[in-house]
Amino acid sequence: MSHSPDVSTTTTRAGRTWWVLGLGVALFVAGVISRFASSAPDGLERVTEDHGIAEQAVGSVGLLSYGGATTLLGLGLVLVLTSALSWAVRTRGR
Amino acid sequence: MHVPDGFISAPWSLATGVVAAGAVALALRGARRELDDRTAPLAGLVATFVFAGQMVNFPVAAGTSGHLLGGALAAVLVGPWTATLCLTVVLLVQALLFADGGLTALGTNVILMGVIGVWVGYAVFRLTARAMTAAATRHRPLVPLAAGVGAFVSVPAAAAGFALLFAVGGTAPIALSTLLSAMVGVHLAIGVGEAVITALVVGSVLAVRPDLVHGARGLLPTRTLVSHAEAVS
Repeated sequence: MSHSPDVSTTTTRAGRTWWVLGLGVALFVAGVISRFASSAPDGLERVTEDHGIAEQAVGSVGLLSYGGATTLLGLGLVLVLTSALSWAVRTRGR
Repeated sequence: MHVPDGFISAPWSLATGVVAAGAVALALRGARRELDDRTAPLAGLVATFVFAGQMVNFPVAAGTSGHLLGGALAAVLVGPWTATLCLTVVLLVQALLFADGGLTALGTNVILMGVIGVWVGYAVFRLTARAMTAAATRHRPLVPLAAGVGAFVSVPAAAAGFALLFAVGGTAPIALSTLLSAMVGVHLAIGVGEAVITALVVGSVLAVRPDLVHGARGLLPTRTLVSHAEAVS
Protein backbone atom coordinates (compact mmCIF):
# COMPACT_ATOMS: atom_id res chain seq x y z
CA MET A 1 0.00 0.00 0.00
CA SER A 2 2.28 2.73 1.24
CA HIS A 3 5.27 0.48 0.79
CA SER A 4 6.74 2.31 -2.14
CA PRO A 5 8.67 0.20 -4.64
CA ASP A 6 11.71 2.49 -4.45
CA VAL A 7 12.25 1.51 -0.84
CA SER A 8 15.95 1.39 -1.64
CA THR A 9 18.42 -1.14 -2.82
CA THR A 10 18.38 -2.91 0.52
CA THR A 11 14.79 -4.05 0.02
CA THR A 12 14.93 -7.40 -1.62
CA ARG A 13 12.13 -9.71 -2.66
CA ALA A 14 12.58 -11.51 0.66
CA GLY A 15 12.21 -8.10 2.28
CA ARG A 16 8.77 -7.67 0.79
CA THR A 17 7.58 -11.18 1.50
CA TRP A 18 7.78 -10.82 5.28
CA TRP A 19 6.00 -7.46 5.01
CA VAL A 20 3.08 -8.84 3.02
CA LEU A 21 2.95 -11.84 5.37
CA GLY A 22 2.83 -9.53 8.38
CA LEU A 23 0.02 -7.47 6.84
CA GLY A 24 -1.87 -10.69 6.14
CA VAL A 25 -1.57 -11.69 9.80
CA ALA A 26 -2.88 -8.29 10.94
CA LEU A 27 -5.84 -8.54 8.55
CA PHE A 28 -6.54 -12.08 9.75
CA VAL A 29 -6.54 -10.95 13.38
CA ALA A 30 -8.84 -8.00 12.64
CA GLY A 31 -11.17 -9.83 10.26
CA VAL A 32 -11.37 -13.38 11.57
CA ILE A 33 -10.02 -13.74 15.10
CA SER A 34 -11.89 -10.62 16.25
CA ARG A 35 -15.16 -12.45 15.54
CA PHE A 36 -14.38 -14.69 18.50
CA ALA A 37 -13.55 -11.76 20.78
CA SER A 38 -15.20 -11.58 24.19
CA SER A 39 -17.93 -8.97 24.43
CA ALA A 40 -17.50 -8.69 28.21
CA PRO A 41 -16.36 -5.31 29.52
CA ASP A 42 -12.59 -4.89 29.62
CA GLY A 43 -10.61 -4.36 32.80
CA LEU A 44 -11.07 -0.59 32.94
CA GLU A 45 -14.80 -0.84 32.11
CA ARG A 46 -15.30 -3.53 34.75
CA VAL A 47 -13.49 -1.63 37.51
CA THR A 48 -15.15 1.71 36.72
CA GLU A 49 -18.59 0.04 36.61
CA ASP A 50 -17.96 -1.66 39.95
CA HIS A 51 -16.84 1.57 41.61
CA GLY A 52 -19.41 4.03 40.34
CA ILE A 53 -17.11 5.82 37.96
CA ALA A 54 -18.60 4.54 34.71
CA GLU A 55 -21.61 6.88 34.88
CA GLN A 56 -19.23 9.83 34.56
CA ALA A 57 -18.52 8.79 30.98
CA VAL A 58 -19.81 11.26 28.44
CA GLY A 59 -21.19 9.13 25.64
CA SER A 60 -19.31 10.35 22.64
CA VAL A 61 -20.66 9.02 19.37
CA GLY A 62 -18.07 7.77 16.94
CA LEU A 63 -18.38 8.35 13.25
CA LEU A 64 -18.19 4.63 12.71
CA SER A 65 -18.54 1.37 14.56
CA TYR A 66 -16.16 -1.54 14.09
CA GLY A 67 -17.24 -3.83 11.26
CA GLY A 68 -15.91 -5.23 7.99
CA ALA A 69 -15.39 -2.14 5.84
CA THR A 70 -14.89 0.36 8.65
CA THR A 71 -12.30 -1.86 10.33
CA LEU A 72 -10.47 -2.06 7.01
CA LEU A 73 -10.58 1.74 6.79
CA GLY A 74 -9.15 2.03 10.30
CA LEU A 75 -6.41 -0.47 9.56
CA GLY A 76 -5.54 1.27 6.30
CA LEU A 77 -5.43 4.67 7.96
CA VAL A 78 -3.14 3.41 10.75
CA LEU A 79 -0.88 1.74 8.18
CA VAL A 80 -0.63 4.80 5.93
CA LEU A 81 -0.19 7.33 8.75
CA THR A 82 2.46 5.32 10.62
CA SER A 83 4.31 4.37 7.44
CA ALA A 84 4.37 7.98 6.23
CA LEU A 85 5.52 9.19 9.64
CA SER A 86 8.28 6.62 10.06
CA TRP A 87 9.39 7.10 6.48
CA ALA A 88 9.61 10.86 7.04
CA VAL A 89 11.67 10.69 10.24
CA ARG A 90 13.93 7.79 9.30
CA THR A 91 17.67 8.09 8.99
CA ARG A 92 18.25 7.94 5.27
CA GLY A 93 20.54 5.65 3.38
CA ARG A 94 21.41 3.14 6.07
CA MET B 1 -8.40 0.29 28.69
CA HIS B 2 -9.52 3.23 26.59
CA VAL B 3 -10.53 6.10 28.87
CA PRO B 4 -13.75 7.77 27.61
CA ASP B 5 -14.65 11.46 27.77
CA GLY B 6 -15.86 12.56 31.20
CA PHE B 7 -13.64 10.44 33.47
CA ILE B 8 -10.89 13.02 33.80
CA SER B 9 -11.69 16.68 34.57
CA ALA B 10 -11.19 19.36 31.90
CA PRO B 11 -8.03 20.91 33.41
CA TRP B 12 -6.41 17.52 33.86
CA SER B 13 -7.43 16.45 30.36
CA LEU B 14 -5.75 19.58 29.07
CA ALA B 15 -2.66 18.82 31.15
CA THR B 16 -2.45 15.23 29.89
CA GLY B 17 -2.91 16.54 26.35
CA VAL B 18 0.06 18.89 26.78
CA VAL B 19 2.23 16.18 28.33
CA ALA B 20 1.26 13.69 25.60
CA ALA B 21 2.05 16.26 22.88
CA GLY B 22 5.46 16.80 24.46
CA ALA B 23 6.06 13.05 24.58
CA VAL B 24 5.16 12.72 20.91
CA ALA B 25 7.49 15.60 20.01
CA LEU B 26 10.33 13.85 21.86
CA ALA B 27 9.41 10.55 20.20
CA LEU B 28 9.61 12.16 16.75
CA ARG B 29 13.21 13.11 17.54
CA GLY B 30 14.09 9.82 19.20
CA ALA B 31 12.60 7.71 16.42
CA ARG B 32 15.20 9.09 14.00
CA ARG B 33 17.79 6.92 15.70
CA GLU B 34 15.59 3.82 15.50
CA LEU B 35 14.26 4.04 11.96
CA ASP B 36 16.20 3.64 8.75
CA ASP B 37 15.45 2.42 5.25
CA ARG B 38 15.34 -1.19 6.46
CA THR B 39 13.30 -0.83 9.65
CA ALA B 40 10.85 1.94 8.67
CA PRO B 41 8.47 -0.47 6.85
CA LEU B 42 8.18 -2.54 10.05
CA ALA B 43 6.78 0.44 11.99
CA GLY B 44 3.63 0.70 9.84
CA LEU B 45 3.12 -3.02 10.14
CA VAL B 46 3.53 -2.97 13.93
CA ALA B 47 0.99 -0.16 14.36
CA THR B 48 -1.47 -2.00 12.10
CA PHE B 49 -1.02 -5.20 14.08
CA VAL B 50 -1.53 -3.37 17.39
CA PHE B 51 -4.74 -1.79 16.03
CA ALA B 52 -5.96 -5.26 15.02
CA GLY B 53 -4.83 -6.87 18.28
CA GLN B 54 -6.64 -4.28 20.38
CA MET B 55 -9.92 -5.41 18.76
CA VAL B 56 -9.60 -8.92 20.13
CA ASN B 57 -10.85 -9.05 23.71
CA PHE B 58 -9.99 -12.24 25.55
CA PRO B 59 -11.84 -13.35 28.71
CA VAL B 60 -9.86 -13.08 31.95
CA ALA B 61 -12.56 -13.70 34.57
CA ALA B 62 -16.35 -14.03 34.77
CA GLY B 63 -17.74 -10.99 32.99
CA THR B 64 -14.37 -9.35 32.39
CA SER B 65 -12.13 -9.26 29.36
CA GLY B 66 -8.87 -7.71 28.33
CA HIS B 67 -7.10 -6.94 25.11
CA LEU B 68 -3.58 -6.41 23.86
CA LEU B 69 -2.22 -2.94 24.61
CA GLY B 70 0.78 -3.56 22.39
CA GLY B 71 3.19 -1.03 23.89
CA ALA B 72 5.84 -3.52 24.97
CA LEU B 73 5.40 -5.49 21.74
CA ALA B 74 5.94 -2.40 19.59
CA ALA B 75 8.90 -1.23 21.71
CA VAL B 76 10.75 -4.55 21.38
CA LEU B 77 10.09 -4.76 17.64
CA VAL B 78 10.76 -1.18 16.49
CA GLY B 79 12.22 0.61 19.53
CA PRO B 80 10.48 2.59 22.29
CA TRP B 81 10.43 6.03 20.59
CA THR B 82 8.89 4.59 17.45
CA ALA B 83 6.53 2.53 19.61
CA THR B 84 5.21 5.71 21.25
CA LEU B 85 4.49 7.05 17.75
CA CYS B 86 2.82 3.78 16.68
CA LEU B 87 0.53 3.72 19.73
CA THR B 88 -0.32 7.42 19.27
CA VAL B 89 -1.45 6.83 15.68
CA VAL B 90 -3.52 3.80 16.76
CA LEU B 91 -5.19 5.77 19.58
CA LEU B 92 -5.79 8.78 17.33
CA VAL B 93 -7.56 6.71 14.67
CA GLN B 94 -9.57 4.83 17.32
CA ALA B 95 -10.70 8.08 18.97
CA LEU B 96 -11.46 9.96 15.75
CA LEU B 97 -13.20 7.24 13.78
CA PHE B 98 -14.69 4.94 16.38
CA ALA B 99 -14.93 7.03 19.58
CA ASP B 100 -12.94 4.17 21.13
CA GLY B 101 -11.39 6.33 23.84
CA GLY B 102 -12.65 9.90 24.15
CA LEU B 103 -11.18 12.77 22.13
CA THR B 104 -10.64 14.84 25.27
CA ALA B 105 -9.06 11.72 26.81
CA LEU B 106 -6.65 11.23 23.91
CA GLY B 107 -3.78 12.72 25.89
CA THR B 108 -4.64 10.48 28.84
CA ASN B 109 -4.77 7.39 26.65
CA VAL B 110 -1.48 8.28 24.93
CA ILE B 111 0.17 8.64 28.35
CA LEU B 112 -1.26 5.36 29.68
CA MET B 113 -0.70 3.13 26.65
CA GLY B 114 1.79 5.01 24.46
CA VAL B 115 4.12 6.25 27.19
CA ILE B 116 3.70 4.15 30.36
CA GLY B 117 2.85 0.91 28.52
CA VAL B 118 5.67 1.37 26.02
CA TRP B 119 8.43 2.58 28.33
CA VAL B 120 7.73 0.39 31.37
CA GLY B 121 7.43 -2.57 29.02
CA TYR B 122 10.68 -1.71 27.29
CA ALA B 123 12.61 -1.02 30.51
CA VAL B 124 11.51 -4.32 32.05
CA PHE B 125 12.33 -6.10 28.79
CA ARG B 126 15.86 -4.65 28.77
CA LEU B 127 16.52 -5.48 32.42
CA THR B 128 15.15 -9.01 32.03
CA ALA B 129 17.08 -9.63 28.82
CA ARG B 130 20.30 -8.44 30.44
CA ALA B 131 19.80 -10.63 33.50
CA MET B 132 18.92 -13.65 31.34
CA THR B 133 21.83 -13.13 28.97
CA ALA B 134 24.24 -13.20 31.87
CA ALA B 135 22.84 -16.53 33.03
CA ALA B 136 22.20 -18.41 29.78
CA THR B 137 24.27 -19.83 26.97
CA ARG B 138 21.62 -19.79 24.23
CA HIS B 139 20.43 -16.25 23.71
CA ARG B 140 17.85 -16.47 20.97
CA PRO B 141 14.87 -17.73 23.03
CA LEU B 142 15.57 -15.06 25.63
CA VAL B 143 14.32 -12.18 23.51
CA PRO B 144 10.68 -13.35 23.26
CA LEU B 145 10.75 -14.46 26.91
CA ALA B 146 12.06 -11.12 28.11
CA ALA B 147 9.54 -9.36 25.83
CA GLY B 148 6.79 -11.37 27.53
CA VAL B 149 7.99 -10.30 30.97
CA GLY B 150 8.08 -6.66 29.87
CA ALA B 151 4.58 -6.99 28.39
CA PHE B 152 3.26 -8.59 31.58
CA VAL B 153 4.47 -5.71 33.77
CA SER B 154 3.43 -3.00 31.30
CA VAL B 155 -0.31 -3.70 31.67
CA PRO B 156 -0.69 -3.28 35.48
CA ALA B 157 1.71 -0.31 35.18
CA ALA B 158 -0.65 1.44 32.75
CA ALA B 159 -3.59 0.48 34.99
CA ALA B 160 -1.81 1.99 38.00
CA GLY B 161 -1.19 5.10 35.90
CA PHE B 162 -4.92 5.46 35.39
CA ALA B 163 -5.63 5.06 39.12
CA LEU B 164 -3.04 7.71 40.01
CA LEU B 165 -4.33 10.11 37.37
CA PHE B 166 -7.91 9.55 38.50
CA ALA B 167 -6.91 10.27 42.10
CA VAL B 168 -5.82 13.79 41.13
CA GLY B 169 -8.05 14.57 38.14
CA GLY B 170 -10.95 12.12 38.31
CA THR B 171 -14.60 13.17 38.26
CA ALA B 172 -15.84 10.78 40.97
CA PRO B 173 -14.80 10.49 44.61
CA ILE B 174 -12.96 7.22 45.24
CA ALA B 175 -10.05 6.32 47.49
CA LEU B 176 -6.79 5.89 45.58
CA SER B 177 -6.01 2.63 47.37
CA THR B 178 -9.40 1.15 46.37
CA LEU B 179 -9.08 2.09 42.73
CA LEU B 180 -5.39 1.20 42.57
CA SER B 181 -5.85 -2.31 43.95
CA ALA B 182 -8.90 -2.98 41.76
CA MET B 183 -7.18 -1.73 38.59
CA VAL B 184 -3.87 -3.50 39.23
CA GLY B 185 -5.63 -6.72 40.29
CA VAL B 186 -7.66 -7.09 37.10
CA HIS B 187 -4.79 -5.98 34.89
CA LEU B 188 -2.35 -8.50 36.33
CA ALA B 189 -4.62 -11.14 34.77
CA ILE B 190 -4.83 -9.22 31.49
CA GLY B 191 -1.04 -8.88 31.60
CA VAL B 192 -0.72 -12.65 31.29
CA GLY B 193 -2.55 -12.51 27.96
CA GLU B 194 -0.41 -9.55 26.89
CA ALA B 195 2.72 -11.54 27.76
CA VAL B 196 1.67 -14.61 25.76
CA ILE B 197 0.72 -12.62 22.65
CA THR B 198 3.86 -10.48 22.84
CA ALA B 199 6.21 -13.45 23.26
CA LEU B 200 4.56 -15.31 20.36
CA VAL B 201 4.66 -12.36 17.98
CA VAL B 202 8.23 -11.36 18.87
CA GLY B 203 9.28 -15.00 18.47
CA SER B 204 7.62 -15.16 15.06
CA VAL B 205 9.25 -11.98 13.78
CA LEU B 206 12.61 -13.18 15.13
CA ALA B 207 12.20 -16.41 13.19
CA VAL B 208 11.61 -14.55 9.91
CA ARG B 209 13.68 -11.37 10.18
CA PRO B 210 15.89 -11.37 13.30
CA ASP B 211 17.85 -8.45 11.85
CA LEU B 212 14.82 -6.14 12.09
CA VAL B 213 14.00 -6.72 15.76
CA HIS B 214 15.17 -3.65 17.65
CA GLY B 215 15.24 -5.36 21.04
CA ALA B 216 17.46 -8.19 19.75
CA ARG B 217 20.31 -5.85 18.76
CA GLY B 218 23.36 -6.59 20.78
CA LEU B 219 21.80 -9.75 22.21
CA LEU B 220 21.97 -12.06 19.22
CA PRO B 221 25.30 -12.86 17.57
CA THR B 222 25.93 -10.31 14.84
CA ARG B 223 27.13 -13.08 12.53
CA THR B 224 23.50 -14.23 12.11
CA LEU B 225 22.29 -10.75 11.29
CA VAL B 226 24.97 -9.93 8.76
CA SER B 227 24.92 -13.29 6.97
CA HIS B 228 21.16 -13.19 6.55
CA ALA B 229 21.16 -9.70 5.08
CA GLU B 230 23.90 -10.62 2.67
CA ALA B 231 22.40 -13.93 1.73
CA VAL B 232 19.24 -12.34 0.36
CA SER B 233 20.74 -9.31 -1.34
